[in-house]
Amino acid sequence: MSLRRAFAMLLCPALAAAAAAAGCRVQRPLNQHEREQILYQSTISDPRTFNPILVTDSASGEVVGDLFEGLVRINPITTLPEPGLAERWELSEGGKTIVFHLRHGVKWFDGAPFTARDVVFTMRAIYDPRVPNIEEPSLTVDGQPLKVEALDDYTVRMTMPRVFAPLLYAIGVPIVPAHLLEPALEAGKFNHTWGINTAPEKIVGLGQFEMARYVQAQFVQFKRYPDYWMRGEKGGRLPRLHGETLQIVPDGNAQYLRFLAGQIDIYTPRPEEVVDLRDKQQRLGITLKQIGIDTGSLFFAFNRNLNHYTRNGVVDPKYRWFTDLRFMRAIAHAVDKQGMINLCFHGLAVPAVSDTSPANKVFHNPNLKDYDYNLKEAGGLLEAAGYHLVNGVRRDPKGHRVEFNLATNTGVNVRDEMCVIFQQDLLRLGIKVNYRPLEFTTLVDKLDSTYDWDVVLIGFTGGIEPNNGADFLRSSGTLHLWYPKEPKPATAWEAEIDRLLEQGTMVMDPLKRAPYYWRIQAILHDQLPIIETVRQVRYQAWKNSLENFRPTVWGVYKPEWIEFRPE
Amino acid sequence: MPASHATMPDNHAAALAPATRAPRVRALLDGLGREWRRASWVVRLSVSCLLVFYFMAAASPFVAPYDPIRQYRELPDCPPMSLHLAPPAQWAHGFFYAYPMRMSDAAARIFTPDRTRKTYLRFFHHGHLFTTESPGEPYFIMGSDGLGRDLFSRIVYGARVSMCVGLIGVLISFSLGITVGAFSGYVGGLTDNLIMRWSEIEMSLPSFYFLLALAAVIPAGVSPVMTFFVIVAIMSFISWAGFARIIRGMAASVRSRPYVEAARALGASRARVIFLHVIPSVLGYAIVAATLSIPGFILGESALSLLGLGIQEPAASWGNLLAQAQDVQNLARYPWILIPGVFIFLTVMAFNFLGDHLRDRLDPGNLG
Amino acid sequence: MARFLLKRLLNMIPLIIGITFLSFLVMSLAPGNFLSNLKLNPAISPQVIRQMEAQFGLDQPLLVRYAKWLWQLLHLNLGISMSYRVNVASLIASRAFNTMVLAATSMVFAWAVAIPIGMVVAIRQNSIWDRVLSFLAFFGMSVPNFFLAFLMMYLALRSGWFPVGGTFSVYYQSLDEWGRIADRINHLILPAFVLGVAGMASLMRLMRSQILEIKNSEFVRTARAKGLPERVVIYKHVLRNALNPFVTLAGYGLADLLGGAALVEAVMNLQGLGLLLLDAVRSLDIYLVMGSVLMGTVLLLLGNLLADIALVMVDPRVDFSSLSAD
Repeated sequence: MSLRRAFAMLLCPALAAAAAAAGCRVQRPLNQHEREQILYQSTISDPRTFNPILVTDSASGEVVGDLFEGLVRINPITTLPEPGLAERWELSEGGKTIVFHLRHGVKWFDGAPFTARDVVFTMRAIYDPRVPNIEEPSLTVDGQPLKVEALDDYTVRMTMPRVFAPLLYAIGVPIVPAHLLEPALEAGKFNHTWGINTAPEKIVGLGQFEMARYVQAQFVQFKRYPDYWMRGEKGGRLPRLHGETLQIVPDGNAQYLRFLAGQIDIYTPRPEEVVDLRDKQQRLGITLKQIGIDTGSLFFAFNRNLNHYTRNGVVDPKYRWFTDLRFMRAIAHAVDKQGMINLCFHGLAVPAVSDTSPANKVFHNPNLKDYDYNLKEAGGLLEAAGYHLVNGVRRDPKGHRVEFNLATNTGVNVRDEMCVIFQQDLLRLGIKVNYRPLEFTTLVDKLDSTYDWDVVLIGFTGGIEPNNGADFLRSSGTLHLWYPKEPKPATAWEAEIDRLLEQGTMVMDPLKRAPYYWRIQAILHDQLPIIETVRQVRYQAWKNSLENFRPTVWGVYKPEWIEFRPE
Repeated sequence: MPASHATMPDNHAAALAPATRAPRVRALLDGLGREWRRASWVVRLSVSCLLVFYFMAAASPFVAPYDPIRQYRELPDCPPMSLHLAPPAQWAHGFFYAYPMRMSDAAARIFTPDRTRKTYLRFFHHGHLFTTESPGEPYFIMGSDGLGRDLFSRIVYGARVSMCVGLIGVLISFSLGITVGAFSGYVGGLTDNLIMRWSEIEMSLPSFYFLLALAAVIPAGVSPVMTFFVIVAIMSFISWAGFARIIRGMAASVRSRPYVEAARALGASRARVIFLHVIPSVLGYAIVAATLSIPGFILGESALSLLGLGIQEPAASWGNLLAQAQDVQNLARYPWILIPGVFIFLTVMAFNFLGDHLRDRLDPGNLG
Repeated sequence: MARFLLKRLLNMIPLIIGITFLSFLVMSLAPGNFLSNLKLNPAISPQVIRQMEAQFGLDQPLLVRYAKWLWQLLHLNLGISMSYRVNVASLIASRAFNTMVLAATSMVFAWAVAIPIGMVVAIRQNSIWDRVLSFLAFFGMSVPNFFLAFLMMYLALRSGWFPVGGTFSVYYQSLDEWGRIADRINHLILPAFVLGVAGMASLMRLMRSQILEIKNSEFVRTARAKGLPERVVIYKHVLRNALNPFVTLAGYGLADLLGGAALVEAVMNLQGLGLLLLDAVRSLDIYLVMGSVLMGTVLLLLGNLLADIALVMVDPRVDFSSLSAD
């Protein structure tokens, strides 16, 4: 008897759960994205701040991106500056002075007019030593800030200490309202304004969307700003969408499932998903399009910092290997880029030759020739340089076993695999590689403070303006990975890069600037302080009902025109 | 007397006799043989399963057909290949053959067999249990992983890590937990208070943080074996405290039982009471709990690898191999990457059935 | 009992200080600090990093920072999260409700299923039910829970019976009172199942072994010999004596309530503490981690204390004097 009773006990919760499940088959509203003209997107993490000046991460950037605007915007197709809040601008004194003419009739969400005062205030906040922000370095010329004056309510003049070509690419900083934030800046409380606990209606911008609601770890909702300044052809209202919902989904797989379920309308598929989506395009009613080559750069960096290698007056032989061009060329020939493309990217990547992506149409140097993968040639180069293979072990001219440590950051599958591929190829050359992934903070500490590393696989995101990478290229830069903060250029070619960087900022015309940066890319390619690997080919997938959606690797072109096709 | 004590005299006799090795070994074998005959088929199957896995671990280079880190870069995510019986005329090459695979779609990783050629399978060839005539043309019995490495070979080598990490981890943490817990619960008072507070400290420490710090401290060149022992030690260190608390609660309850009081009244020393009376009374629970925690160790090891602390690529463990199935895409398209999970499952089952059996055999109250 | 309680509560103070200090120490062992996350961004200058270091007080020595943290704690202030730039307490509070509801549901689910099943299979040892349910239990244990979460998400996607992740719908606001509750429950079922499965499986096996052990013990045989009906024997003698280890286990449950499960939260997109804390640990957001360590510690200590009290009440052979004198 007791058995039956016990079974009844057991069944009860199960039945209850089933009943609950059946009972709460809530009437799910059909997919209303189209009818309501609300675009659903996803992002991987919560925003950290709503203050656009304080943003340091991509998730916050995505959230505030539609709320605020800059004087200038960059056209993602031509990669050239275009008018934003500034209707037009004039250069004078050979480019040392720029006068911006602001748009009339632009209003903040609270109805206050947008004027030159806001621009001056924004620049003041950026230069304020108490406000840590990422805009300041690119708006500083030779350590000096720009002089920013309001000539009248709708005219702003900026004066630079010298001609500084990258300015137009850097001046698109989001403008914040002076009338709301000025008191906080005066009181030194700017860093605590507009945190994520602020009520959405208190975040006052002038962009195409207003924030309507934010639920932590769930979503951010936006509604269209009715008084947005931009008008369509024939004066039609913009933006065309009525709203936007940004769902916070921290896991890539979960994002993909939501896209498949139709809960989000736009998705950036990973290589293995591209194949899957290609098969499902018809059934799901989606468009899948290749949008171009990734803008970033993923490379092996080799430590050339003498301080790291000197212990008790003895220099580690690794220093000699990594500064030995013959050795480095052999290593470059041992990087199986095609293998990495096939194994790690399902064939959806291209070999990277230069540290600047081909997506950067003007500044990418197309004339470099890649080091082709050829272990025989690599072995030959090593032998010729005096690195002999003895019983399967590679030894340097002084008889030391060639062996070094390789690291990358944990949790990125693709990098893990690339390191393992690299490791095996070098093993075939008799070189032992000790590979271990490190926590990101640990890795950065090594790169930035202790310099205790041999080789790392690391990636940088890329921008259009090449001077934004100056801290990496310049020998005195803190991000000059292979030897940060060199007291003076350690090699002649590093001195040349320093010179080229300086000269590159002096020429205003992008086409005339390009050759300086082409030369830098050629030097890096020849001297091999870093070995480039591959670049992913980017895809974008979106619902067929979405119109005017034109994604590029640099961002969406004319996002204000996006709409759902009327039924 | 309960039948379960039947083996005891043998062991005692064997232990007492200062005889040569041979009789002692024979007595042990006899005892084992008797246990084997007594056990149910489930237990026998479990033991066989574990023995096979341990053999795999001990003789990995022999069992595995290929080098587990060799990448066949033109064969990533290749499905398990089908095997064909060769006609008798070709038996000189081998009894079985497979068709080599060709990747026909690099993006989708679709393979088609090349029927114009045959790869013969050889047994006891080149020092392997089975392998193909040349290692350049592999036969993937369980498919390959994303880098084109033979999954079966990786599972075989992975057994070294996973079969050990579970057993050693459980042994350390549970012997520590049971001794400390029983002692603490039996003795009570200030000692109990101190030990339990210490266990609370250990349980509250953010172990993840601890591991993170440790991962950063271990230098890159440390040998995998060393890292492995560090991992096992850490995992045991983290998990003993919670277990000790449970045992301590049970021990506190045992101390007022008549037989324990009787032993104390007879003047038995504290250690004797603990080891002969308290611990046996909690052993049943402990064994079951221990066998139940084995999957935690096996899977936990893969979490550590993700931190850069456990077994690192290119070395394999079952946990790591299974972690590759994290991706929905991989799972749907290459279902064979779930096979390591089957091995984990079998190990868990085997250990648990064995544990149940041991518990029954060791329980003095069990007449069955 | 009052004496026991008071002692244990007083004991907690040095324990909390000890644990938090140890955590602080361990954290400082990890190389780098929160700002390391920003250092590889070419747009952020070293001056900015230094300013932020000073702003967050990261440039001070360990002891000073710990003392400051403790001092703030006395004023019931857990400090500011560096990555979210808001108060740690508010951040934790914003996620605590969901985490608690989910953990409680999965725990109730696990215990409510595991205990009766464990009893049944123990009473019917080696029956077909025993075998089948044990097999399922082992299966439940061998599957990593993040993996199960994926499978469930896939199931949700394919069947359309359940939402694909989240804690409530986007249109939640537009629902009425009952609709909201139903919506929440609908989102709760799969995660509660996923989180409950592993615990349920091992609880069931443990219950089974405990019952088996007690079932054959002398005092149960005595009870049977006395002619007590089997039901009374099972419920009054066997069950009560079998509960001892589960009481201690349940004590840990209190700490688990707010522990969260980061991987499952990530996969199922739950608004929980687990993921928040995992991120905090990985990015070295020290005050957020300390806040959670503190919370976890207090809950664990309270849970253990409650478990000890419950042990005395449930198990007639355990008394306070045996658990803690000083």
